[in-house]
Amino acid sequence: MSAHPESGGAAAVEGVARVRPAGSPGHPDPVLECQGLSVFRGQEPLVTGVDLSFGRREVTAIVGALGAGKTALLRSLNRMMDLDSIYRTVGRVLLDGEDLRAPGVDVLALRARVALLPARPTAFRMSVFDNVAYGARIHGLAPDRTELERRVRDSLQLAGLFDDVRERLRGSPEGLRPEQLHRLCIARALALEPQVLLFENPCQGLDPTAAARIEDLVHGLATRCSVILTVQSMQMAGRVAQRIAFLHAGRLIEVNAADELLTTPRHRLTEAYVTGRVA
Amino acid sequence: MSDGQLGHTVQSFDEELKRLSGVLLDMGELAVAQVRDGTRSLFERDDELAQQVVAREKQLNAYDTQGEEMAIQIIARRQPMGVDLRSVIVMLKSFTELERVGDEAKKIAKIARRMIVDEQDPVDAYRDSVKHMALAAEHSLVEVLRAIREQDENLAIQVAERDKLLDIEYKDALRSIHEGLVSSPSLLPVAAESVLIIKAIERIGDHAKNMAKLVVYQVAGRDVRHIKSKRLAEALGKTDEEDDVAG
Repeated sequence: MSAHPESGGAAAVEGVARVRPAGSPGHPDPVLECQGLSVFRGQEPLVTGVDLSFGRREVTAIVGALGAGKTALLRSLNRMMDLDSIYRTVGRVLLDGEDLRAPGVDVLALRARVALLPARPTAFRMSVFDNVAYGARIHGLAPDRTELERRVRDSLQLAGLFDDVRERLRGSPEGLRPEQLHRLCIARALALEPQVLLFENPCQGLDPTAAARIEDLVHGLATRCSVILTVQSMQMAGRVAQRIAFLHAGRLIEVNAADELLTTPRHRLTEAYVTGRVA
Repeated sequence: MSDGQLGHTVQSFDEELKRLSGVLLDMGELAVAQVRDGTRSLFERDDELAQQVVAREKQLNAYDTQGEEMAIQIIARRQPMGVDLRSVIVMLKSFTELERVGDEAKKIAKIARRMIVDEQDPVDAYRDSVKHMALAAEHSLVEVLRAIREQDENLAIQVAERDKLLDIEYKDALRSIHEGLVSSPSLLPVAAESVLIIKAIERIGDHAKNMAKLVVYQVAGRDVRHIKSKRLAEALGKTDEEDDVAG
């Protein structure tokens, strides 16, 4: 019995090698599924042949070193990679079985259903209220003022910011602390009432206490929607996610329940990464 | 374990794990010596040696405390994962197992002292089987320490499997003591002490088995504590055929 039964089973799909990762890449109740997903920058592969399902109402962490392909994978889930023509994506992404890469898909509407929060939180030059209402407005999700106010209030409460800003909703977000800025952007995404929330390194630039509170928030969001995040730290992934997918050099190496992957990784590369050993 | 042999990016972490393992193996050697000397004091009626065994038990307790503190420090400061986490947890539990081995050895030494004072001698009928059991338990302990040192999962499985033989010997010895008592009731005081001795030896075997199962978890990541030893190889897919193929 080895802790690292090497996984094999390569198959050629659309000219890209698909390698079955260790662990359990499938999910009994998937909300989002990648099938043979590859992303290229020019000719350079960033993500190679990823088959992976993301569970409904669950937090999944995509973990890997710098340059492992985490961001490219995450951003291809709501077709953000399409915004720059230097990138080319191959394969399928299914949201509740619907092919998001099929012709005719309303990409803007898709990005409201699968909302992305970039690593660096940015407040727009408008009031706190308008910042949160921004996405819901441009996507036409609130038919009247009452609904818009409800969305903004509920999102701020969910993001744990309402009490801090209730007296300054019409004021500028200038002067918000970094943690509050993170919460503001999370509220903006939540106002879309998305099915899936994508986070790029959700605690980047925060002090440990603020980071811990944001981690707690992200973990709790799974009661409302499915959460997928990228992170370099396995420790953080273990605190936040129920499931962890480990990427190395653009390939999905292993995916498993967080407690299993952190204690008994099945692949030697995962083992080397979680234990901080140099290969 | 190929990558387990590679060094950590943080080299001081390697050194800390090595030091922890060193303390465990030193403690293990002392525990083996305690078992050996405890049973020797019994059969050679050596009161001085028995006293030494009783006195040395404190050293085992000190190792246990030191090892536990080191392991807690590593968990707190390094937050180990994967094989590192398993190793620290396994060592933490192994310290406890070895400390209990020390308790059993001390128990045997104390009985030896009582028998010397009371001018009792293990009855010939039990002597050989008790001796054999003591050697088998000591051997298991030596072998499980080797499995820890060499991270040898197969050796650990052998140690765990071998424990059932010790259990059979224990039952046989118990039966023999009982039969002896039926024919010679005057042997009751010696028989009572003998029962305590073989129970202590059987427990030492159990601790060696527990440590062996921990080694399997450490190396293979499989929790086999509650799998019967005789089903261990099967549960881990270690059949004879596979071993033959592996050479």
